Amino acid sequence: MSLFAVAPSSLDIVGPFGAGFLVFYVCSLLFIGWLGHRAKKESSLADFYLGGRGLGIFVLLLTLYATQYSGNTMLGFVGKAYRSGFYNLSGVVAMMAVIGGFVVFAPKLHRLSHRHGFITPGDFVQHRFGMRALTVAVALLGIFALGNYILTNLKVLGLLVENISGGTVSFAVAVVVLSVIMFAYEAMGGLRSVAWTDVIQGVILLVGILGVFVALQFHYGGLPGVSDQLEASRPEIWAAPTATEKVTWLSTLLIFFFGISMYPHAIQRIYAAKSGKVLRRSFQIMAFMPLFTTFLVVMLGIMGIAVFPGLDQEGAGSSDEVTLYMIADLIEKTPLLLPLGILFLGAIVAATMSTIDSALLAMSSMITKDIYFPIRPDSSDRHLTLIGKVVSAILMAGVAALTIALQDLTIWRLMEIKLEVLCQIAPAVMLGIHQPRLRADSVFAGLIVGTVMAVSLAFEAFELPSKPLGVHAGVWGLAANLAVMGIVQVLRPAGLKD
Amino acid sequence: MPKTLILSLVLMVLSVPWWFTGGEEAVFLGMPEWAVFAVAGGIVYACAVAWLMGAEWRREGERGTEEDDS
Repeated sequence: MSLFAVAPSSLDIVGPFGAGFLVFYVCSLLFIGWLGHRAKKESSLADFYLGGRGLGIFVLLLTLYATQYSGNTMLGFVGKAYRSGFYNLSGVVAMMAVIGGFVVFAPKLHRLSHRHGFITPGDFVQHRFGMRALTVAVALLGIFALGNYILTNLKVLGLLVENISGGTVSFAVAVVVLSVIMFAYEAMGGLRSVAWTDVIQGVILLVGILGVFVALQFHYGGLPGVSDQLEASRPEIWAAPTATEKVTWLSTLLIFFFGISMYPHAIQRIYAAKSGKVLRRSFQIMAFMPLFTTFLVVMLGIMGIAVFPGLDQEGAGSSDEVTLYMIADLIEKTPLLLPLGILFLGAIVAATMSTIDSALLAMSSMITKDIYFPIRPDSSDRHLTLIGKVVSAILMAGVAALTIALQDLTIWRLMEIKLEVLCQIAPAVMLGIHQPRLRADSVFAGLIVGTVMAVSLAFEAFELPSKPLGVHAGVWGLAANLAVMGIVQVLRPAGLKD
Repeated sequence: MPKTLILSLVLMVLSVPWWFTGGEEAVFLGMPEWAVFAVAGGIVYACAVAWLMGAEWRREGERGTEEDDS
């Protein structure tokens, strides 16, 4: 039996039933946001940005899960797997490496955060090094990375809703309406609301992915069932990676290890955990989640090669939409799978929204606590919380407007540079927390040099490829960062004032 | 340099399929042998990370108690 199918010209696959489900889902988020508001215990920054530091294992695990896996996992990763084949399995270990990064600093950081009342990653840096310029630099890098993260995910969200509604809901309307909803539930209850909505989003995500994977096993016979078609259409994906590709594989693991573990919203979940035991167990489970998420979406992309060969050629559809083609094909051939398809599409929307709302909250906290508070140190917690909500509104409106305005521009390359700069924070956190003799000036010098180097290489400023010798610009930047940090640490007399 | 960081990095390096050059046929569940190695390496890495997380937390608990006592 031939499995070959043609990419559908329209992806209007949800229909009125699916549209109703998505509307119900979105309304339920507002209701949960209101519940989060009702559960508020006090008007403090810790209550608003960290849910009162009381997240238990169920909520913490699912909020970590829903935040770590975004719309990019469900669409971008699958598209990449379609283009690179089995090579994209590097993403499975890379997502595990993120938890490996947390192992280095989370246990001690959690204890310190509860003892000293940290709200943002900058609070730890200020506590540890006492250098305002370094704290602001860390906050700015975090804000830049999160801004990019929100922009790219908002674009995914707009395109997704436009596609699955067959154009009934335009890109701009989808971006505006969903931005307003995300801001509304976040402003009502802060992290408590965001984490509770993440529970729903995490469950939909996990059930949707597992359900579709099982359906693919029955429908196409899994990977063994499509191996003949795979060999016929893309024989090169079976070959082992070349030497350069293996170096890039390791470089990917490193950039995830040092970069994603530095995401400010992830660090804030370390602060928000109710206890060390809860956090430890959540991370231990999270270490295995790539097997049930990343691995399955990579398999989906590889099976897409067999079912929809020749995507990205003229008039053949885009490989970035292979997830949607596969769902449409499943539903077309087995209409009984419509609810599962809708659940999966809901999962993509959920994954994207949970990532955006968490990033928005973290950005708002850093602007309020790391930048505004030092200028107005006499501000009360109530005033700062209000400022945080105003900042969230301005940020969400600004990012939504930018997303709509830039949707067709190639400036998106700029937006992709986030892990490259986030990596540069890693020495301040990972080494700073364990090395008492590490000084602020050496960390600051390393961070500046590393960031300049990473951004320059990413834009091919030295007429070098963006990944010299197959290594990411962020990893080269991190090497320069560590080298400069070491040199300044050794050469500059410790007695000199910063 | 914390031992955990070094151990985690070493395991990460070992999980890359460095030693495979050919393997152009499916050997297990429709995957070539180097891809099977990559998935198996990932499982081993996840187990190691989960174990390291537990060990590091125990150490941190002891350190925290010592600091509190002093």
